[in-house]
Amino acid sequence: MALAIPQIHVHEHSDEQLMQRYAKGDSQAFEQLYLKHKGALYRYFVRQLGDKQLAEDLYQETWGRVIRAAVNYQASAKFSTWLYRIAHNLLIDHVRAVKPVDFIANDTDVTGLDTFEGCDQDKPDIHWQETQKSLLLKTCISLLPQVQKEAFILNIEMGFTAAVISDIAGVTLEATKSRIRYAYQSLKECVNAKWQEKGHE
Amino acid sequence: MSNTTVNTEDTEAQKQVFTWYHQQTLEMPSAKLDQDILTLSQTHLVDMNITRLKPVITPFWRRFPLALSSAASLVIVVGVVILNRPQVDDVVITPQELSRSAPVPQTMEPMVAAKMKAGQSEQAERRSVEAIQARSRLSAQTTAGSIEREVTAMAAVSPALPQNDSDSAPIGGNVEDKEPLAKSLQRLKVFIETRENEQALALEKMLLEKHPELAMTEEINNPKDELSHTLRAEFKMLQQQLHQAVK
Repeated sequence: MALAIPQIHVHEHSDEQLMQRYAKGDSQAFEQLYLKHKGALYRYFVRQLGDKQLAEDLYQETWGRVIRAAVNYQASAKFSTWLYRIAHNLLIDHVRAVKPVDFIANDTDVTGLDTFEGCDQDKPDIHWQETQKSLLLKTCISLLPQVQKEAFILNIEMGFTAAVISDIAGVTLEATKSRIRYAYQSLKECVNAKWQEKGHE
Repeated sequence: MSNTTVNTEDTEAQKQVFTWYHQQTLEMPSAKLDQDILTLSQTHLVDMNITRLKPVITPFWRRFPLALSSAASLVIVVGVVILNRPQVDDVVITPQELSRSAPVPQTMEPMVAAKMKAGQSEQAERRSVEAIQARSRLSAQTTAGSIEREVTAMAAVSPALPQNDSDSAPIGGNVEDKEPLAKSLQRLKVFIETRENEQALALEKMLLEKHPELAMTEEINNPKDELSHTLRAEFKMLQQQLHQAVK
């Protein structure tokens, strides 16, 4: 699963410097950049789409666009903002192309929770409880409205502030703040509700 | 519910969700996907380098635009000058004219400017004097020419004028000068007789300019100059008659 890339100190240069170095012909710079952002960007697509193949296609297309735009890249904005704006636009294009009902993800990993629950539910271990709840969280994330889901993933994965998210998504700051707040509240309530549904306290 | 309570609840919710989120297994792209993207990045880099290494063939006229445009302008100017050569020759630009047309720098000293003005006015005066002299010279020549033409016409008409002056005495021994001088004296005589004093005076002046020996007073002992002496005496006589008539 892990890519056979030598360990590199990814924080030596800023993302913008790495991108400029890549534009000048330094392939190692791009590798550093890729390692730094690959997980979060991948999950951005997978968590929102639910369709792994489609998510991988859009993920690959996003990096393809970054590579092609490297020659004309100007560090006027943060690289991460620029990267996620590309990803957001690709996602929007996809949402426009398909029906909204198809866009709602059906997380199949929920079944894993049920099978796991049967054998280990008697353990009073807090760590076990948290693990179970983290599995429930995955299901709850998939049930969030699309706009809240995107705001939540960008916030929790990249640590983006509401201002940056509003810039990426092209909405007002207040709307973004509301989305983030409602997303966290909904997720907590959803996880607790599901936990109780399974017969726990 | 107060704002503080709401904020506390939000913060708690965020902390809990954050903990749950990072406890779960986080999805990562497959190694194949990573490799595909990195290969794409390297391929694109090679393409970019190839594009950079390709020599850009710029046409000759784009490599030296300034030199070529200057040369073309020069050719056009020379061509125009050659085609309009007569007009260009008429307008001779002297250094004085150039200096006159050039603007006087503002930083120039007032003395220098005054000197330049004085020099320019002197030149202008000299030029006007020369122009007046040239005009008077031209009018004198025109008058003399017209007189000569009139005398010739009169001589052709008048039977009193001799047709052949080959017998006339030469002045200074030059045979070629004999005939015109004798003819001229005949014309002068005619002018005096017809009282055309202005023309007679002009002819007299012309004869004196042409033959300064006519104004001589000393006796010539050379027998060869006897004829010229006769002509001189005749001229003197005519001159006296003319001046008397003018008075």
